[in-house]
Amino acid sequence: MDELNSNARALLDAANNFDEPSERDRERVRAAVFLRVGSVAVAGTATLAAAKASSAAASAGPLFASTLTSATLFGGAAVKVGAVLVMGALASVGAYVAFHPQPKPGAVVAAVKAAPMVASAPAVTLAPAPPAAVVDANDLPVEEAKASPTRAHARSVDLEGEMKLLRQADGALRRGDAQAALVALNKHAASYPSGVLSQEREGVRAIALCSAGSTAQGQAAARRFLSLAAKSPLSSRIRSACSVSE
Amino acid sequence: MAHLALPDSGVAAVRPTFDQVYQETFAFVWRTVRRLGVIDSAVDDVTQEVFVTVHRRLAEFEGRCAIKTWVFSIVMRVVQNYRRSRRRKGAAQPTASTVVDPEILADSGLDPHEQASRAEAGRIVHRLIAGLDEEKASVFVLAELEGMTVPAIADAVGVNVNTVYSRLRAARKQFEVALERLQAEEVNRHG
Repeated sequence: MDELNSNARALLDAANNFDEPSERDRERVRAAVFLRVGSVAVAGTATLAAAKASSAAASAGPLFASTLTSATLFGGAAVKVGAVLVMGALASVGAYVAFHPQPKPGAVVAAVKAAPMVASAPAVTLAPAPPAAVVDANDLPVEEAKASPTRAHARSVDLEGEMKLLRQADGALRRGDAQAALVALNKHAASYPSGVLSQEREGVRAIALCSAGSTAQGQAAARRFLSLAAKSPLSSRIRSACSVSE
Repeated sequence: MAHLALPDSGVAAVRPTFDQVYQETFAFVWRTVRRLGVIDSAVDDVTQEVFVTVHRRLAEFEGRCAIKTWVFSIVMRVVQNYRRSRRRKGAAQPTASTVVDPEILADSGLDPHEQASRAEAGRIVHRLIAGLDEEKASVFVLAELEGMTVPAIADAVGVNVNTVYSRLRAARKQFEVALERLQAEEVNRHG
């Protein structure tokens, strides 16, 4: 059979590596899959016999179970939010993608510098927000990659810990205890300022602030979130909790 | 990766773990999803869906083909679902990816001119592949960009070897003609 001609072959060779993923891509997608299917198998610490995987997912509790059964692709609302507030949101990588736009690093850095993720007006009594809760340029992927190629990899190593704190926040919100949710979110921010789930944290924070009656802060956080992740499954919940329309 | 079947060897002695499959095939899946016309903003979602499906169905993998071949059959279905979804929503046809990951560029060791040339070449390749129909595009990507053998491609796309040869021949011709046309347009544009 005729081979590709030299002209076309040269083009393919010139495009070599154009489509290669970065290590950050690899870890980001792994984290998203991890969140959708449960923690055991994807963590790479257990073999994936089907029965074991099913059992792991089932034993992970209702959040994982709901995520597994309701997750669908390409619908925008990838997961029925409601009872699976946090995990439902986490199950979609949409928010993460939106928060990690590929290129335009300057614009993203400028936007975040102009609008720190934690509002300063203490309209509600909160656990002190640690400085790390403010997302600065150093927390952004592009800057991060420039500063230290290994940080993106390192930050994914404790997803269980991150998920535990976000589950706590979710549980507190469902009990109507927004203060406790904010405490959990602040703990997450302190422990994982650049965590894989840091963006989701800020979305949940917006809900918690609005639920706690700190409407101005919550709405500001909500608008920042929505400006970056309008298609996130968290978005409808945020709009509802904070009465914002955009 | 000792448990994984070697590419195209056809046999997996022991079913690989999900983590092994992920490590082994992530880059392949990512590249292929991009090359098959998934827009940049959806590459994460599509790749994620592929591996969620891999996770769900790994117990069904019987080692009759290389893991890469098996995974590609999933990639193809997920990409087809993606395309159907876009068509239902009335979206424009998928456009070739145009974004270069700055991390890749930063780590490439290339000078800026070479980086730009590579990115431009990559965009052109995407554009030309987008001009192929789905069947030809799949075969072309696997053969010309992934270096898979025709029998492995036949397994992956679920057709016989002769059909693969036929599609590949047609895809190559179409790709070459489209490239020549593009180059001619460039020459005309620049006088």
